[in-house]
Amino acid sequence: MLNIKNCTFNYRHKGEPTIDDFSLNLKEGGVYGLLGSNGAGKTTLLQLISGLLTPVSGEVTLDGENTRLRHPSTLEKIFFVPEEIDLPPLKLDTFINLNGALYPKFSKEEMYHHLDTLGLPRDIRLDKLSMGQKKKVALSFAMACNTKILLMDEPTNGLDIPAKSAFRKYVIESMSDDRIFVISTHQVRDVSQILDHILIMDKRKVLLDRTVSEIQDKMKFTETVNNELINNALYAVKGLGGASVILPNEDGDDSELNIELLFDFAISDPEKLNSLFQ
Amino acid sequence: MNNIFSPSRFGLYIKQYAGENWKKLLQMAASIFGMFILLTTIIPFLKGSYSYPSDIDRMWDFETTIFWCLLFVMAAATAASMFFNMDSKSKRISLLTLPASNLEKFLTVFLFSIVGFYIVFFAAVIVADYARVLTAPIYAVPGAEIAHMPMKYFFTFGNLDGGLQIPKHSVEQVAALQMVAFSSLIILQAFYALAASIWPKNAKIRGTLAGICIIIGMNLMFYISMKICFPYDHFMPKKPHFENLDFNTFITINYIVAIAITIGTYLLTYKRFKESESIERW
Amino acid sequence: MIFEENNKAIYLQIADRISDDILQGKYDSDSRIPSVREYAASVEVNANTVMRSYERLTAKGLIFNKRGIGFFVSPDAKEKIIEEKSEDLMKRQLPPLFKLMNHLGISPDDLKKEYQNYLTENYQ
Repeated sequence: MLNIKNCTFNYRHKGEPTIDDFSLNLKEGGVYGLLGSNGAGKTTLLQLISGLLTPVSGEVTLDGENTRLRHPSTLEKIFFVPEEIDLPPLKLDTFINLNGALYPKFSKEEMYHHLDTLGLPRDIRLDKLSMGQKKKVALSFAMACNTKILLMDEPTNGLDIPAKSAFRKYVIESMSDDRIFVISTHQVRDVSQILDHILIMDKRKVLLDRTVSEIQDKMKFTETVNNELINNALYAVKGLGGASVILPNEDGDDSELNIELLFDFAISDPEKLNSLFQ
Repeated sequence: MNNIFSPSRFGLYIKQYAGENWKKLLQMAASIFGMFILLTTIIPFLKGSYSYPSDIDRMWDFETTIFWCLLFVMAAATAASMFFNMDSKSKRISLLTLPASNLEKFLTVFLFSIVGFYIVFFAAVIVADYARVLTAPIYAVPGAEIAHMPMKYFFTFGNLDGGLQIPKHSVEQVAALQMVAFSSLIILQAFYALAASIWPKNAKIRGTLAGICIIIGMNLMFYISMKICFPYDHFMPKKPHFENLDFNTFITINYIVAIAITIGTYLLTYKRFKESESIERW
Repeated sequence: MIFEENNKAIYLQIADRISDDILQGKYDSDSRIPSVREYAASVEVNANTVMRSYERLTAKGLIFNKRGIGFFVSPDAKEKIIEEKSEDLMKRQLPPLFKLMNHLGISPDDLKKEYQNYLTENYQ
């Protein structure tokens, strides 16, 4: 279990903290979608989990160990794929041999398999790649390390459509009851179907932390022109010729999540949203 | 699993560090070699050191002087670039999340940039000296003495006991000089290593500025405290305490103090390294 | 797999898709259907979501789980599906059409005639 306990973090020593008294528990077996407005602290949170930043107060623990201490036993269980990737000037094979050796569950075969699926040749020099290609290498390596926790910041940014599909398949195939995947993204449509937990955050707190099925159980998402429905909806956004609405799910006829609408709801009225789950 | 130190993991980490950074390290070593060889082959020609006969090799003194100066400068410069693999955010992210202990990561850069420096330096001195001996005969006048400089000459500042030279300094003076040189060298190197851990990118500039500030500050503190304690015009107290101290003990104490200061500085550096984050805070 | 824009929950759409596949004979009675994980990867949907689909189909008696081996189509799945779809057609989809037909004055006999013509033209 990954525990974020009352973490406060500030990039400078004065002014508004980026994350303030933030607490969250992530359980094994979940593919979490981490959503938040720009500046809400998503990347900061991922870095705090990885031990890359020191909280001003509070701590992050993985299976009881404080991740900031950066003990190898903890580092072996976490892999963080940042948004911007920089690779050293080496041949791919050299890179794999040097770095993979430090991760006990690293699998070279899996690395090559992922590269094939994502459409990258094997004899490449890492510094001569485009942004998208670098991303593919980074994601392939991250996947092949088979760490318990995999944190990804905007993983689909820069990927072409076949690669996005390969990415989704990878996440589904490698998910297991003892792993945690966290995908922080604005490109919700790229990953909406592979998520099973939705996390919406604002710097001070978690606005929503629910599984997809819990949300589907409580509310329906639909488009309508019916004014009565619109006025009585839990949340509505008016558009051309109608509105996108969130209605209570009274008939058990589950609808698919409209994550963008859910996000808007969470930002504008988090208390109301969470009260639906009491 | 040992979270502090594991020999096999340490070996893998060194391999990873060397494998990813060999180009930069080789460049640093090659520039040292290159610079030294250039100095020892071109300077004698320009200076005309071999343009008239002599029974001692005139370049030995030059080599000794210039290499002592370079030893200090290059030790500081290399130590200031000790954390060159942390000079960008993505490099820091890779390094800090790689599963090795903080000690293993620190010892690796210490081995390459601090210990390894001395190996490269002295190898370069020897090679440059050989280069001189090989190239000088091309333009030297017959009768001009050309010979390899013994490293003992270098380490004794031009005094070889029982050697060719009339001793320029007394034995005690040489011992004192050696102590001062060694102590200030290791302390200076450690100081720049500490600066590098605080400012991986600008260690040389900021380290030098910090050093100047510290020296001025300490001198001021010394001056003021002396003025308070000894309100005379001259502030150098007599040294009754030292009259009974044996010279060798004095030297040994100084070595111990210097080593202690150096170790303390490296411990601070290690601590600062452990505190590193993906962002640079200073 | 492209999911319809009618916004039905994906786990329900998947259950429908598998039902259709059984109906069309893609999966015969007592034959094995892909595992949850295999199916999830092929349609790029979270395995938990597909699990809900499989649970729903199991609850309806259309598939069953042989522990350690996988999910299999029930022997009477086809019949059950036909029955459910017929029920849905008759009781949910047709009434709005009936309302319209009544409004336009179309009689049950007219409807029967059109249906028979259709069958003759397309299936004989």
